[in-house]
Amino acid sequence: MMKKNKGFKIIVFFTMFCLSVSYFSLLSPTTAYFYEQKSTDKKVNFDLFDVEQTILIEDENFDFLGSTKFADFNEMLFDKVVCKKTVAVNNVGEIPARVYVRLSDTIGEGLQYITFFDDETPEPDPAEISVKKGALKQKIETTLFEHNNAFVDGIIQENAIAILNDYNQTASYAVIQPGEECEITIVFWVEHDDVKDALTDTEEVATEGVPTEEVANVDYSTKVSVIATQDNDLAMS
Amino acid sequence: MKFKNVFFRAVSILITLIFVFVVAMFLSGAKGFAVLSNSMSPTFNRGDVVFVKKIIFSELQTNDIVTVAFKNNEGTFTHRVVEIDNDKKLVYTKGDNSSVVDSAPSEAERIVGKLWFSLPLLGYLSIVLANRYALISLVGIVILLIITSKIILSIKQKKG
Repeated sequence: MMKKNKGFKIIVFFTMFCLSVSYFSLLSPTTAYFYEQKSTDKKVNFDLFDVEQTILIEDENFDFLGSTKFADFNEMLFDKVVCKKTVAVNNVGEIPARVYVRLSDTIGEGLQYITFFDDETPEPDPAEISVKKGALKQKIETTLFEHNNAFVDGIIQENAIAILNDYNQTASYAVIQPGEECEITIVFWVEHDDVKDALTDTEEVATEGVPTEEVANVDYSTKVSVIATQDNDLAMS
Repeated sequence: MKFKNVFFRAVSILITLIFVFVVAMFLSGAKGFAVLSNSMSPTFNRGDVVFVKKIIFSELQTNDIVTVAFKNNEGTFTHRVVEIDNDKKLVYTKGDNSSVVDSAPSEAERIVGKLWFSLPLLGYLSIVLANRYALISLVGIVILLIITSKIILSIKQKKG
């Protein structure tokens, strides 16, 4: 009788033990957004289960050779007047992360940008006088056409900028898998129509065809934030 | 022999207490979550378990800690409320270990519950066993222990 009682107790306690362990084992995980601000050699890391990092790159200096007209599909010197900034982003965590760029506190009229997340951003040669459209402008036009097929030769300036802004806000991001790196290239330029009143000694590069000195009398600064979010949170959707 | 009895008695009491706790959580309607990241450190850390209870939006207050479902319902995050927009029914949250507020506010319907209490370290069970190899290893060890004890018992009986 005693042995039977003992056996019964063992079964009961073993069952209770298994149920308790199962309860804690089957708890749903709760991750969290984690914010960290740092700017270390422009290398951004985001860690285990840290799903969002906002990195501020402050007080970037821009060196524009001239202004340009983005909507002009026949402009040949666009590539020579842009200013490129690159940021290396590294996912050292265990979940895919969606990475995108945002600008804020921009000072200076007419500053525009587009972001690329691959290694294939063409490198313009400022010394070369080109007789055809540069590879970078080609790439930008192709990218925006794929985003919105209204972006074609003949588009008016206002619509071109609207499509560009829409692309930057809703479609320009990369998903970086755990253990992977990505180099983000941000291409900046200045729209001539927005600064023509401020320009005194410079010439409109697109029409004159020859790079001139820096865009005078207009200072530019901006804060560039590289934001990484957990991909399944559908940021930018 | 005395030590063995005392040991088994202590284990039995512990198991009973844990089981009663689990039943109490079920009956209370609280939901438990295993914390995976340190964004709320030092309030709670990776490996802790947080228990939350449903709350009406109007009862939420600043500084409450809430668990919120992601937009596509694939997971949750747990952060502190820093601002409540009663007109739009939104809450702005921030991790205690973060220097900035979370970039997007959360809608009322995504709030799973408000923090009731947290327990340290118990979440590691879920974190470790989420790895299927760890789970298979654990099941294997349990089976091995059962078989071993049966063999030892059988040998003892034969000798006796």
